[in-house]
Amino acid sequence: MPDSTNVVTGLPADQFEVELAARSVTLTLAESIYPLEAIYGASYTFIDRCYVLLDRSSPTQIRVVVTPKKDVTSESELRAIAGELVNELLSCAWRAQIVRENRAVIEAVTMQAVGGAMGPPSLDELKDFDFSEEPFEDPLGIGMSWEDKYKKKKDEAAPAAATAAAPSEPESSQ
Amino acid sequence: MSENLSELARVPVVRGAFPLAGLKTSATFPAFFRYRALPRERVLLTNLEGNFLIVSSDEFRAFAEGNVPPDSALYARLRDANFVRAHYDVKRATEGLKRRRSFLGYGPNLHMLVVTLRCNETCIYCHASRAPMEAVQTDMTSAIAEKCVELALQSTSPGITIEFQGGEPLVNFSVVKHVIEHARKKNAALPTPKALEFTMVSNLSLMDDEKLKYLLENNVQICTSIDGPQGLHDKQRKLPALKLASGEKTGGSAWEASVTWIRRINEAYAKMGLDPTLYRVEALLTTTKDTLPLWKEVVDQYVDLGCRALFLRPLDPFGFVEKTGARLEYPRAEYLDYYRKSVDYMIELNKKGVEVLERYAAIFLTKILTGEDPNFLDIRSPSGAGIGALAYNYDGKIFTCDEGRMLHETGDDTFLLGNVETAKYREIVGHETVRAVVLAGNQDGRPDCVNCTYQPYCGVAPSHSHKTQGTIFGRMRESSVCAVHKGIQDYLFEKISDADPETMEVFRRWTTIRPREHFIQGAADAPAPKDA
Amino acid sequence: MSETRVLRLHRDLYASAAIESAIATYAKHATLARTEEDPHVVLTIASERPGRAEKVMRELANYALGLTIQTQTQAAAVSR
Repeated sequence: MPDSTNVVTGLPADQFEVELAARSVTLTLAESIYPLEAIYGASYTFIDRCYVLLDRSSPTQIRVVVTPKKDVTSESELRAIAGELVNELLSCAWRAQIVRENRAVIEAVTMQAVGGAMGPPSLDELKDFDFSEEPFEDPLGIGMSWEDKYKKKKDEAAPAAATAAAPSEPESSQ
Repeated sequence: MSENLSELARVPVVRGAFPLAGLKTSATFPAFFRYRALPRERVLLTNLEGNFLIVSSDEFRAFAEGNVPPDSALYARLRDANFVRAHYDVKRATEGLKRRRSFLGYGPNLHMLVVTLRCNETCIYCHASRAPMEAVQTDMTSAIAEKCVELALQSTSPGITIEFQGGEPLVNFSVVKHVIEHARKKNAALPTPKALEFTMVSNLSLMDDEKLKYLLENNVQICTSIDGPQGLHDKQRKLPALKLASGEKTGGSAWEASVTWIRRINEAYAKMGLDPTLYRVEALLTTTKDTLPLWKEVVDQYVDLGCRALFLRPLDPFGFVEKTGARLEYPRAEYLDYYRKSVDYMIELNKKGVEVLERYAAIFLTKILTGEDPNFLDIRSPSGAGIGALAYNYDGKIFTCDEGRMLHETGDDTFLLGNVETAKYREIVGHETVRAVVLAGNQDGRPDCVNCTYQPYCGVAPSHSHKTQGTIFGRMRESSVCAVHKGIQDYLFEKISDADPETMEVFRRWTTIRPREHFIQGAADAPAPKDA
Repeated sequence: MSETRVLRLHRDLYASAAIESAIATYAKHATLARTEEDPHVVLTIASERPGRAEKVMRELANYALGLTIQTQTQAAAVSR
């Protein structure tokens, strides 16, 4: 339990540790409620005006220490920062869940919005595209052209036929 | 009722909340819906595609529990509005959604050119980061202006509006003229010329006959600010006594300057044979703490000037308000009280034959009653930043929105996309900042909005959330924009649910969008395609 | 008189590349010594200038956190 002189009105002592001298507030968060991505998201919105340090207090809990950069002269300011952080944590945690659930519609709208605004590339822009790189692995040859695919098969069949005709020659390995 | 439930029944219900105690919801009867309690035991339902129904509390319970007799009038209403799962018309819902998001098919249609930061007025809430009249280095050059025009004309939108802003754009009138002429010339040379419009946002105090003649002859729409009656306006918008480089002297009452020219311009439109019910100078106001008790005087002022529309805009957090906010700001609950009184009064005036509408109401009512989106960029999902509008600063820097440009002037480059000197159109609108802002401005991904009954009609600009909360996503419970939008829609739906026929007729008139074709140029003048 | 501060960055929460980048960035502002005490990377920050060690410690931690978050976000985007 924190020292009673380090209690700020409105910040429950069992959830917040306050060091008034250092002007810092520490929250210990269960990852089952606030996933790491939510903690990152909320922390990021504070690093312009606070110092934010993360650590693990246990395998399932993360400790967040927040210290305002500017001099905080009153407890109410410290309380406001802490309160805003937990609100942002909730917002980030919930948003992560919403985005997972609504991913299809969000992606569709985003693609249409940006694609509609951009329009098709011009010939000059196409000239700068790099088409040489293989986009993906293709073990079944799905992306292969008909000519390439059947020329390949024909080439494979031709040595086999030649081998069958030749007397007792071992098959060449592929 | 058990003791616990009777305890709950005595708990005062928060606005919009419905007492759910004892409700046994059906998983099979209702199609997807959102709900919000209205006064006098009514409940508003909305669905994915933005259809709405107003039902009684008892009807809502029956609907939620799946206890609606199939031969009842309620069942028919629910089915017809696409709220019954068994009859859910996916095709109709898709068409409805597509109509509401039709703006997604094309790029920025609004291009705001800040032709100078210099301004001869000092407004206590100025969000434009205006510069003094000696700061000629903040004038846009013709060369930069041309590049802005050429970038704007690459938009995939079939029509664009070039909006002259400042500072005070009349200060750099030569560049305004150059933009108009250059845009016309370049547009005419396009394989498919765009529908081109020009708008100027001006305090009108530097207007003269020669400038007005040019603007009228070149079909430029004019928009100005009137904060209300003279005492209020002049208290908030100072027109200091200045002698300009041209020798011209300014000063005196900012209100008198604006009003004089509003009347002159409106007379000029009438002389040109333009329909006076359609062609007027547009005026806007910024609501400060001093405005709130003067709601009737503000409306009367606008009516007296012959204005057909008021836009009861609350204060925004950009620019001077950071310093003057303590004097000017107010709780949004007080703003909403002022809003209700003002619009109630306007409705009564309309019933007496005075045609004046409130702009917020018109925007929301168009979405609610017609299923169309008027494409007001700050109230749509995703917001218009970067994909519906671009802002060009005097030095050629490009931003997702004018608020982004204002933030830049205070050292925050979050919304900066590039510079017209080096930028390519597709790189600008495909910029990672635009993508981030599109994601952040999409209500389908935002906590609170995702469950909100007003989701099909609403929108919050990421720049406002960034400024006030440090995140482009925003926390809507703490957002003053959300509070305003919710409050306005609460008011409108209360009126809709009251269903007074005269009020509904007024509302229907407010949703009618009559294009002002006099201001549209370019596409109609386009040469016929070569193969015709 | 030299002031010293110790910063512990948990390897689960701070990306290695982000830590190394932060060290490289702030090395010119203070004397940095790096050790490992599993699961933390431990940085000892020393400076003769009053208050400098404390400031570098805080700024370095923020910088490492910011870079970590950016890296995670980009990695998540690519993996989709």
